[in-house]
Order: sequence, then C-alpha cells, then structure tokens
Amino acid sequence: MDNATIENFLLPVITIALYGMGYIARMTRASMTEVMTSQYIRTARLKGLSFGNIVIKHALRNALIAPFTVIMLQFPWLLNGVVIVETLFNYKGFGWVLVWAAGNNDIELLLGVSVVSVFVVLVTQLISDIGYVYLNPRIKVS
Amino acid sequence: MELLTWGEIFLKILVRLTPVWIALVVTFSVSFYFKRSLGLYGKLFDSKVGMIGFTILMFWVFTGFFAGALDWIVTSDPLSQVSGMKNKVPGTPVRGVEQGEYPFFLLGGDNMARDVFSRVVYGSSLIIVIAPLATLFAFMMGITLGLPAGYYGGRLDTILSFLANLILAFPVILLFYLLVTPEIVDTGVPQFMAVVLFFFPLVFFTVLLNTRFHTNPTKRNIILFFVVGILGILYLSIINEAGSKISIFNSVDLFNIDAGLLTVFVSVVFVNSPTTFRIVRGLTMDIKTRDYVSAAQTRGEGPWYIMLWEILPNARGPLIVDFCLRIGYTTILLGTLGFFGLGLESESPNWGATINDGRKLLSVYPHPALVPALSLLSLVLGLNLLADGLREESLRD
Repeated sequence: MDNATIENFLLPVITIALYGMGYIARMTRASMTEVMTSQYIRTARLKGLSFGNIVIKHALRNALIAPFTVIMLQFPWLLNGVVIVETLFNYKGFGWVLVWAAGNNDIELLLGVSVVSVFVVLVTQLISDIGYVYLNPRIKVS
Repeated sequence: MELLTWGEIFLKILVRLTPVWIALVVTFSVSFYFKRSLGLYGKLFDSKVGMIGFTILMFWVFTGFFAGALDWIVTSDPLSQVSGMKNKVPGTPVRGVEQGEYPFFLLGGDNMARDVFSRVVYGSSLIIVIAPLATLFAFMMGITLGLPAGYYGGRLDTILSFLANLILAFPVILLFYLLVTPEIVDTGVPQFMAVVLFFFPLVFFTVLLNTRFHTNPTKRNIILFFVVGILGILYLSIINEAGSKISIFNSVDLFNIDAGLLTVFVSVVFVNSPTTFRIVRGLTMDIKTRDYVSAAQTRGEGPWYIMLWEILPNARGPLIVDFCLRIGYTTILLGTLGFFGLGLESESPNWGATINDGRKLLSVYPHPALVPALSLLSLVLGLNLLADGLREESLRD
C-alpha cells in the first residue's frame, strides 16, 4: 500500500477498536463496581472528596488489575486475530501474511512471522507483569 | 398465495415458537414460587436486569433444545434447498408445497434457497451447546492452572506462564489449519489434546470438593465417589472413540463425538485457555495480598482451600463478566473459522458461517445475514445482562 493516509486506516481501525472496546469497558466496570463498595471508598466520601477524585485517585488503580491483563492480552490477538478485518478491508496486515504463508507452504516466512509474534507476546506479557507490581505494590513477581 | 405482510410474519413466528413460550412461563412460575429456596439462582429473580438477561438466554436455550433434540420449531429442513426460493424476501410462500409441509419461508430464503428461519432456529442448538461448553472447559483449565501459578509464584509460575505465552504466540488460524489437516487428524493429535484439556474439569472438581469437605471424610468420600465417577465416565466417553488412536475404554464409551466437532472444540478450548489463565493469575496475585488470605493462612488452611474458597469467590466479578462475553466471542470465532473454510462443515447452519455466507449479498438481500446477526446480538446481550445480574446479586450478601 503506497501513500497510505489516515482515511485509509479509519474504517478498519474503528472496526477493531469497537470490537475490543466493549470487552475492556465491561471488565473495567465489573472490577470498578466491586472496588466502589469497599470501606476506604466510603471513608473517602465521608472525608468530603469529590466523586471524580475518588474514582480516579482511589478506586481506579485498585480496579485495574483485570482490565490491564485484558488490555495486554489484546496485543497478541491484534497481531493474528484480526485477519478477517484485514481481508474485508483488503489491506495486507500481519494476519494476512500469516494465512498467505500457511496457504502457500512458505515455511521461512512462517518462521519469521512466528518469531515476531513470540517477541510481541513476551514483551507485552512482561509489561503486564511489571504493571501488576506498579498497580499493587504488595505483589511480588520473581 | 400472497406474500405475507410483516405483521403476519411476526404473528406466525410467535405461533411457531409456542413451545418456547410455554417452557418459559413454566420455568418462570416455578422459579418464582421457589425463589427463596434456590440460592443464587433464586436471587437472580430479584434483579430486573438479571431477569431480562435470563429470559433472553432461556429463550435461545429452549429454542435450541426444541429444535435440535425434538425437531419442533423448524418449519422446513435447514439443509434442503427448495427450487425457486433463492434469495426470496421474508414471508414468501413456498412453491409446490405438499400436504403437511409448512407453506411459507417465514424469514425468506438464502442464496442456496434454504429457509432462513429454520436455519437460524436450528443453528441456535449448535451455538448453545458448543460455545458455552468450550468456554466452560477453557475456564476450568484457566482456573486450575492460574490459581496455583498466581498463588505460589516462583518456578511454577514461570513454567506455566511460559507455556501460556507459547500458546498465545501460536497463531489461531495456523493452529486450525494444522488441526483440520487429515494427516494430523490421523495421528490422533486432536484426541491427545482432548485427553489433556478435558482432564482439568476432573481435577478441578476433585480438588474443589476435597477442600470443602475434608473435615468430614465420610461425606467427602461419598460425594467424591459419585462426582468423580460420573465425570470420569463422561471423560472417558469423550476421549474414547472406537477405531481411532484411543480405543481402549470401549466398554464405558457412552456416546461418540463427531471427529470434526471434537477438533473444533479442542482448538477453541486450546486458544481460549491461556487468556483465562492470565486473567485468573493476575486476579490471584492481586487478591493474595489481601488480609483475609493472610487470616486464612494463619488459621492453618491448606493452600488449595485458600485458592478455591477464599481467592476464587472474590475474583468472581470479572470472571463472570469475562465468561459471558467469551461465549459471544467463541460464537464469532466459530464464524471466523468458517470464513477460511475451517471448523464446522460448510453447510452447517451455525450462525457465524451463516452470517459470513449472507455477507456477500448484504446490500442486495440483507435478510439471510441480518437474521442470524440479530440472533447472535440478542444472545450475547442476554448473556451480558445475565452476567450483570449474577454479579450484582452474588456480591449482595
């Protein structure tokens, strides 16, 4: 694809984004409602903090473990799971290359693609492990 | 005969679904009557959202059951093609209808001249069996491995996470390409995978019940005997198939699963389990630092008791939501596989494949794709509402 503009990417990106948005939003909501019932949130409200402040500063960090995992799991999925979107919008993405290589017995290309996806998975999962420690400092990851 | 108007189509569909309405009314009146003695299920009827979700879900469950098991609701054969009915609009009378056959294609015909209504109704029986079961197995595996990985940490965590990353890095499409190849099926790889994957529910329930009743060995032994016995027989029936690589348990083989279906099932569980593993592991690591876990440790509870009865119930909020969403995504995944000619056979009326077939003519004849798409939408919506209701009610205690 030569001279790709932002318009070229608008529709596929919206499609993929909408697909993951609902999932992450619902996971965040599920963790958030649980955290919002805990004692320290009540204390914060009694202290007279504004609601926005409570949500952002007190609750969100404690509720982010599950959504953060899910967000980091989206990256491996985006690499090779969105091949349908790539086919429908006819842009040659990573998933498309993979299917093409598998369909044409191109073992070298397949190996190359695998190396990239292994690398992406390892990096994103490492980030997610480090993120846990940041979100809840009591977690110890060896 | 005349073309039906939309009102008539609607009425005829309602009449056609009579068994479902009766079953729904019966379920609801019984559940309402015994509401207080049914635990969490009864509490579901206190929340409006949960009840709406439950209604939608049960609507599809009953539809699938009556259509799949009893052949009641379907108006004509979902696979047979009727001459002259190609891409006909909803409510078209069937040409050359014989005595005793249903005279209309209620929701029109698709591009192979098959009845859309019957296909959607029949497809629901496939969806309500495959998608929830595959998700359930993936969750069993994710929970049984994710809990110890998050709880113990250290080397066990490193090994299990490495395996999960390996599967995550393995492209889904490639995996399916490999698994449906006849040479691979002949070597028995899907079956050996089934041996491993389906073993985890067995482990899960054994440990779950053992930790719950270990203070009362007699009761535990009786319960474990029955549960493990039933699950064990089911397990052996699933993995065993006469004439294949694993045919040593023929005497206990209750039923046979179609090899293609088993392959799809195994691959769906296989690709979903590392994701659930990581979610459970993350939640476990978080909850492990809470005070009530330390309290249980000080009390001298065993590690598995803490994992299954202290940590898991407190992780249920995100897990319930993820479970219900994942059922929807699994349904879509089955359709994605159909897109590449993998998965279930191409004629099968499962919703994903039907949407994909109808997609090509979407701008000219929207009904063959819209009907299954709206059905899938309503099912996933119902599941989400149910998840919301369940989560709310289970947290209120």
